[in-house]
Amino acid sequence: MLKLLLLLFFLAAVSKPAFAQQEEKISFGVGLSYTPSAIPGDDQGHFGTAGMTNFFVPMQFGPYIRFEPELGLFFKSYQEEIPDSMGSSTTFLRSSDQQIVRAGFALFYTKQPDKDFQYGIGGRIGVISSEYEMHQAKAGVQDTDIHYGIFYLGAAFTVEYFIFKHFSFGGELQFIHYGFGAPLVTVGSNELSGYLSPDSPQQSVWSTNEVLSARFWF
Amino acid sequence: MIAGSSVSRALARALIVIFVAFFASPIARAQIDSSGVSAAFHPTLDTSEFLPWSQYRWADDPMYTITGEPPRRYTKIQPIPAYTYLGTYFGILVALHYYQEKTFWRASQSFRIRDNFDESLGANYGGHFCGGYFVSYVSEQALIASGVSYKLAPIYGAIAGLGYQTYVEILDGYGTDFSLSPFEVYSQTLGCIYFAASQYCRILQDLSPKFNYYPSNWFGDQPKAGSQTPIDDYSAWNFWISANIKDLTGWGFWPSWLNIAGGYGARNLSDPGETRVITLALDYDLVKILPDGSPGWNWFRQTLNFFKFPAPGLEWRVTRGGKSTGVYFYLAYPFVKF
Repeated sequence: MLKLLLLLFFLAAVSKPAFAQQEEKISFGVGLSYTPSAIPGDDQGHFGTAGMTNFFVPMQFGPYIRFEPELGLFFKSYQEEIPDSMGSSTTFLRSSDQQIVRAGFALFYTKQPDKDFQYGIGGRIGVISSEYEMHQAKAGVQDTDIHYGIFYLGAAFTVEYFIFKHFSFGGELQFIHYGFGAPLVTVGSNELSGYLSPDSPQQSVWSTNEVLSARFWF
Repeated sequence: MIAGSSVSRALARALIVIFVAFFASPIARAQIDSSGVSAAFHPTLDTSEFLPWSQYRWADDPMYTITGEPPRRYTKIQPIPAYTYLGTYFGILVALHYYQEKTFWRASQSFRIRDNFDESLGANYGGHFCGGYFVSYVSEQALIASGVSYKLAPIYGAIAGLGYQTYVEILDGYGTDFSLSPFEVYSQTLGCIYFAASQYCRILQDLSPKFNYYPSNWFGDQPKAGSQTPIDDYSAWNFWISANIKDLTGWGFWPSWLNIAGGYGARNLSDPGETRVITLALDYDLVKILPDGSPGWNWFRQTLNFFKFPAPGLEWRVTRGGKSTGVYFYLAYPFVKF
C-alpha cells in the first residue's frame, strides 16, 4: 500500500502541472440568486422551506478560482387575535416576528471552455442565524425569544452562460448539510438552561438545492 | 620545527581557502543588489518568468520567499516544491486540529452561535484579526513557493486564511465551553481582507499587525481562568498595529528601523483584578535590523517581524467598568515596569 502511495506521489510529482501559464485576470461582479431553502424553526421547532434570495459578490481570481461571499435575509411577521379563554368575546393580540440572516462564501474551481460558458465545482460554507420573537399582549405573559444558530457546508456544481460580456445567467446544484442543536430560548429576561446543557439534541438537515442566479461582471 | 612550520603553513592556507570559500559563498554573505535585495541566490533567471526582486517589496522593505527564488509572474505549479511546502502546510494544520481536538473541542455538544462581547474584554477579537492576517501570510508564502504567481498568491492566501479560520470557528461552535462568535468571524474576516488589501495599498503595508505572547506570570499577572492552552489565554497576549514612521512621514531624522506600535490586550481575565491594557511602544523592523543571509534566514527574519519584541513602552490600565487605574512605563514592555 505504501509503495502504491509512493508511486502515485511520484507520478503526480512528475506529471504536467495543472496550472499552465494563462492570463491571470482578476474580475469582480455583483449577483443575486433564488433558491428554495431550508428555513430553521419557529416556536414549534419545525424546519420549513421558503424561497430565499441571496446577494453575492463573485470574484474571479485567474482562470481557475472563483470566490463568492453571499448574504441572504429573510423576514417574516405574523399577527393574530386570540380569545382570552374558551368562549370569551375578549381577545388579545399575539404577534411574532422571525429574522433570518444567512452569510457565507463559496469557493469554486472553474473552467471556461469558451467565452460564453463556464462551469465549476466547489463548496459553500456559512452560518444561518434565526431569531424568532413572540409577544402576547396579555397580562402575566412574557415575551419569548428563540434563537437558532446553524452552520451549513456542502458541495456545489455551478454552470454559467454569458449572454453578454458583462452579464451571465447561472444555475447551481448543491448538496448541503445544515447542522444545529437546541435553540437558545429566552422567556422574559430568563435564559433557559436547555441550550447550554450537554444533553441538548443534535439535529441536522441534508438538502439538495437548485439555485438560479444572475451575475453582472464589471 | 620545519615540519611544524610546514604544517602551520598548510593549515593557514587551508584556513584561508575555507575563509574565502565561506565568505564568497551565497549562504555566508549574500550580495546586495542596487535594490537592497539579496541577489546571490537567483543568479540567472528568466526575467520574463519571474518578477524582478526590485518589484517584490513590502513598503520600504525587500520581501523574501522561502525558496530564495523570486515569485513568478504567471502561475506555473512546481510539483515537487508544491508537494513539499503545501504538504508541510497541511501537516501543520492537521497537527493543530488534533491539538485543538484534545483541548478546546474535547467535549462537544450541539452547534451554537453566541457572542459574549466582554468575556475576554475584547482581546479575542484582536487575536482573531491577527490570526486571520498571519495564516493568510503563511498560506501566501507556501503558494508562492509552489509556483503560484505573485498576483494570485496573496489572494489565494487570504482565501485559505479565511477558510481555515472559519473552519476553526465552526468547530468552536460545537465545543462545550465555546460557541461560534459572529464578532470573532468578523474580526478574522477583516484580518484576511486587510492582508489582501495590503497588497494594493502601501499605507496598509506601513501599518502592520503584530502580536506578542508571554505567560502572564512572567510579568506578575494571572492567566485567564479556565484557559486550556496559550491560544485562548487572552491574559497573556497583546495585539498591535506597528506604524512604519519613516515610510509614512518621510522624516529624514527618523531611523528607518524604528517603528511605533499601538496595541490592546487584557490582563487577569476572570479575576477580580481583570483589566484592559492599552499600549504604546517603540518597535523594531527586524528586516532592517537583522543581517542579510541565506534564503531560509531571510524568510525567517521577515516572518519574525510579525512578533512584537520587548521595547520601551507605556501601558494604560482600565478596569472592566471603565475606570483608569494608572499609566505605567516599561523599559522592555511587558517587562521591567516603573
